[in-house]
Amino acid sequence: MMLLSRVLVLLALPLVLPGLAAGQSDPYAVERERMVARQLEARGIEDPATLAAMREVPRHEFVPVDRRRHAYQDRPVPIGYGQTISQPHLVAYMTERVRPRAGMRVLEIGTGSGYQAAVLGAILDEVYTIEIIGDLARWGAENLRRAGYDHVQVRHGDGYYGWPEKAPFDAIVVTAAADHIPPPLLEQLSDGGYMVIPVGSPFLTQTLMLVTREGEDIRTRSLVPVRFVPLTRETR
Amino acid sequence: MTAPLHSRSGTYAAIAAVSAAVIAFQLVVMQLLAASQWHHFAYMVISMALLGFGAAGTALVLMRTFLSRHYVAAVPLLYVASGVTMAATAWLSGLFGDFDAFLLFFDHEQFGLLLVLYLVYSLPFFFGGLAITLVFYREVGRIGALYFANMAGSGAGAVLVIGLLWVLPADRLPGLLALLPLFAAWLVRPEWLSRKAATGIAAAALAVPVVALVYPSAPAPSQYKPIHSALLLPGAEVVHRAYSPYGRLEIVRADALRFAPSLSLRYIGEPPVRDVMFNNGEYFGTLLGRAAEGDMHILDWTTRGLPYAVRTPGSVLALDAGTGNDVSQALAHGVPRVIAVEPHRQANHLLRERHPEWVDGVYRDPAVSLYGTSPRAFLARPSEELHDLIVLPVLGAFGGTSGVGALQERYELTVEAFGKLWAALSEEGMIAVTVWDDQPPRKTLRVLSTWRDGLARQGIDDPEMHVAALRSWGTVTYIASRSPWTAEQVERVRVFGRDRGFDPLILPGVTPDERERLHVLPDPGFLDMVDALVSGDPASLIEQYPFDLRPVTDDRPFFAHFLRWSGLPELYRIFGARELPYLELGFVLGVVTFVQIVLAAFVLILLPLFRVGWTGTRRRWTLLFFVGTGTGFMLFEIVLIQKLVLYLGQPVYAAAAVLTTLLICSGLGSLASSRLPASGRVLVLAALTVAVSILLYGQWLMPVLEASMGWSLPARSAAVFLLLAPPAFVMGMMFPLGLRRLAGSDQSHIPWACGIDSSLSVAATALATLLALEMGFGAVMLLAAAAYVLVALAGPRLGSPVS
Repeated sequence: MMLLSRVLVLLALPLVLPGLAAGQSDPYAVERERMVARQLEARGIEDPATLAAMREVPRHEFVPVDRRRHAYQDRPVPIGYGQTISQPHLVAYMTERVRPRAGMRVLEIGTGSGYQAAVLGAILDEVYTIEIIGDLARWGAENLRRAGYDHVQVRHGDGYYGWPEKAPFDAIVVTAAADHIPPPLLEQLSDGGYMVIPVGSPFLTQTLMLVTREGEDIRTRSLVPVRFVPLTRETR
Repeated sequence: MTAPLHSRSGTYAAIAAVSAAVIAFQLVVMQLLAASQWHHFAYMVISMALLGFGAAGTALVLMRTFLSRHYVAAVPLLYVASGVTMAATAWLSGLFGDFDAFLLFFDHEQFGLLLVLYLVYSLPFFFGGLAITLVFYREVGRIGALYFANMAGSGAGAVLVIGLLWVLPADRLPGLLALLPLFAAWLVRPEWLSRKAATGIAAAALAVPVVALVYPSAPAPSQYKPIHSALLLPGAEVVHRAYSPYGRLEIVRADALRFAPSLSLRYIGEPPVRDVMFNNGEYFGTLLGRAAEGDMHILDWTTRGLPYAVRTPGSVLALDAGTGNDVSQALAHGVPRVIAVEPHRQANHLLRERHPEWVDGVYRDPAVSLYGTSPRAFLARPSEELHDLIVLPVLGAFGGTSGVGALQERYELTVEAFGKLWAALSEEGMIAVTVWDDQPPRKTLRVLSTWRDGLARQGIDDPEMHVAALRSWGTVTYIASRSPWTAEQVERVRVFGRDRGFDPLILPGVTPDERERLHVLPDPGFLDMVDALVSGDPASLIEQYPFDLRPVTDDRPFFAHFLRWSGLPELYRIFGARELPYLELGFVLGVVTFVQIVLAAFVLILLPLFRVGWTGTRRRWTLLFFVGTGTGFMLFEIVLIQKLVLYLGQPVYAAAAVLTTLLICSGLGSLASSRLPASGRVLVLAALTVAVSILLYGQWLMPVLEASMGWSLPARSAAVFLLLAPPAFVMGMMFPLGLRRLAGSDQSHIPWACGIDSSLSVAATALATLLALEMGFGAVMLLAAAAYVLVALAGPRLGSPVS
């Protein structure tokens, strides 16, 4: 097994070396580029800012060391505490759905590993994230700092109450959803703002729910990254 | 050949003690693994561990000369090994890391840990099985009495463990049960062993169970169990813990545990913070209690408020009432008569008798009657009382369940149950059920396919006038009314939906715009499917859909099983190999269990043949005979357990009643078989009697039992015993008669036959479940009868011809 992995490393060298020669010291750059091309662009992610962020953020820095080999694969990765870091496509899809643009203020509920916050932080200046599990909050903050996203503000606390001092938010990204949408979060969503929530079992393609506020009306729309149309048997 | 151990009575008592310990240990391990992981995973591990019995037969074939030579010392030593490994399993299983069933299809390292678990848990069964098989082999002339001791001990073990689970935590029981094999070893210790040596060995062996009793160890819990997430919340603590055969009840308190399932987005305020009760680590219910005076009940801000918006019920029946949330809602509406049915008697006792304050005394309200039985058993009681509203338990969970409950029988959700519910409704009565949204849609559709069938059986030919549903962002609540909707009631549904921000899904006169006004679906095709199931052509949809949406029946009561073999290629294309298992983890684990058992059984049966050969020894008849006895017995047993849950109202009692009756009566049959010649005629007659009995029981058992549904639990248990005793008695004759036929053959036949019987018994349990999922329990009964026909065919040709 060890011998096989060494052979594979040697075989991979010609691919990595041009990158190194070009001044990149990131051994995962090739994998990340492949992830963007095959998992995101090929599946309809078009927003240039989102794609650039996904190219930039070192996802492997946000997974446990013993699972780094899975970091750029097309799947969620367990990060402990019964949590996962969502699969790359879902992160990109959620980011694209909140239509990130300069000047936006975004709140994330459920920091987890910090990856989603980092992707948002690669695009926006004002990103706030709250994690209820103390160990995860500390680990997520450390990951963000190590990866260079110091401007993302992390708070250890109950995301139910949101971050009223910084409200209203143009977008709220809920990555650790409970079985209800907290009324304070809806109050802190600006008029015309978006809230996105992934719904589904760990390790299964998750449905994304988009909540929009239009004055007093709050609407939801279920969006499915892998669309399932049983009668016509179409997928995209 | 026979070199008896200490005494005949000592031998019998030892076999009975080890058999009791092994069966009790099996049930304890099931509890421990179900609590730390999931029930299906527990079943998978224990099935493989039971193959330790099959491996014992194989080992005896390969080592019979050595073990025979050291018979007197080998048997007690094997008993000791069984006891010591029994006490040490939990500790041994964690030596190489903590296994998590949820990661099995994600992380390949988990397969290595799974193999360790298989090995560790099979050791007590292997050593115990090897000792018992060795005694059978050496003393086959007394096989009738020995097999009786084996069966009676097993039956006693099944009863014993239920008693023990009421008084001790499950993690302390392996240490306690390990004392039984050690006691057995003491009973049959060699006469030549000095008292001093025997005492020394006993003291050393006792050290392990004593340590296991004082410092109990349990398998590490999965981080994907709901209780694990709850305990990660700030300040979370377990404030109460209780054990029983129903499982481990724990109550978790944390400031962030709010109760607001699929709350309306128009709700303003803070949902109640309440403790949560978990059973075996799974969510059992929130201890909601009563709504504050003057406040609207929190459930009226969810789609579960729908039935109360339509009519004001005078009586409510809440099935699988759990911690009483539906009862609390009914009381908040001033309902004067509320009946709650909850089979978890320990939870009922806690919430009604010991700590009524946890739920603000809802179960002690004068308006409330609480029954500790299953919904179907309750509905079968002779009663004239009719109900204005019957509330079924909430189905599914937020975010899905990954199908961990796919193999669970849900008799309260079948077409037959719908008929019983309908009959229990008053003229204006309604049935209500709330389902969490699932993607791809499955549960939300199967409720409708089952109700449509149920309505058709009641002669309702305009179902769209009897069914209504509202949909929020997370749940759908369906209601079915005995009387057709009036225009006023339709308007009330609309108003309630509009006020709370819910969209009508099914309603007379509903327009397409209304149905997605606030909550836009991922696939509009869902609405067409709903329409097809309510008022269109359900058969065509059911035929085309990649998931199984067939109505749930008593013969196939698996509400949460949706995977169909024909749909797998399509689902594989969409989800890929990695995700596919998580669509229905329970079913996939069931298939994996079956495949690995068959492979392992194949190896265990074939392996000895390389040593002893196949040809010229009439081995094929030995194979067919014991394949038949192992398979037929277990298929019959599994179906009876599943069926009798309906009759006895409690899975735990059903399993205990069936196991005890079958094992004890089979043991008596075995004892009686000693007086019969092991002739081909006797074998054929006995096997055909069993086959015909199974066919008759398949047809008539439940109708006969239904007539006595209103009897008390002891009377019903006695009825089960009397009804099952005759076939069990004859079934018990087959194995010893077969072994006696083999006594004059090549000596390797007997242990090989024991191995085949044990291996096929285990394979049959997995086969029974899979077959029932696809074809129903009726098909399993037919296969059980066929297995005994095979026994009848092979019996006369078994072993050396008897003069």
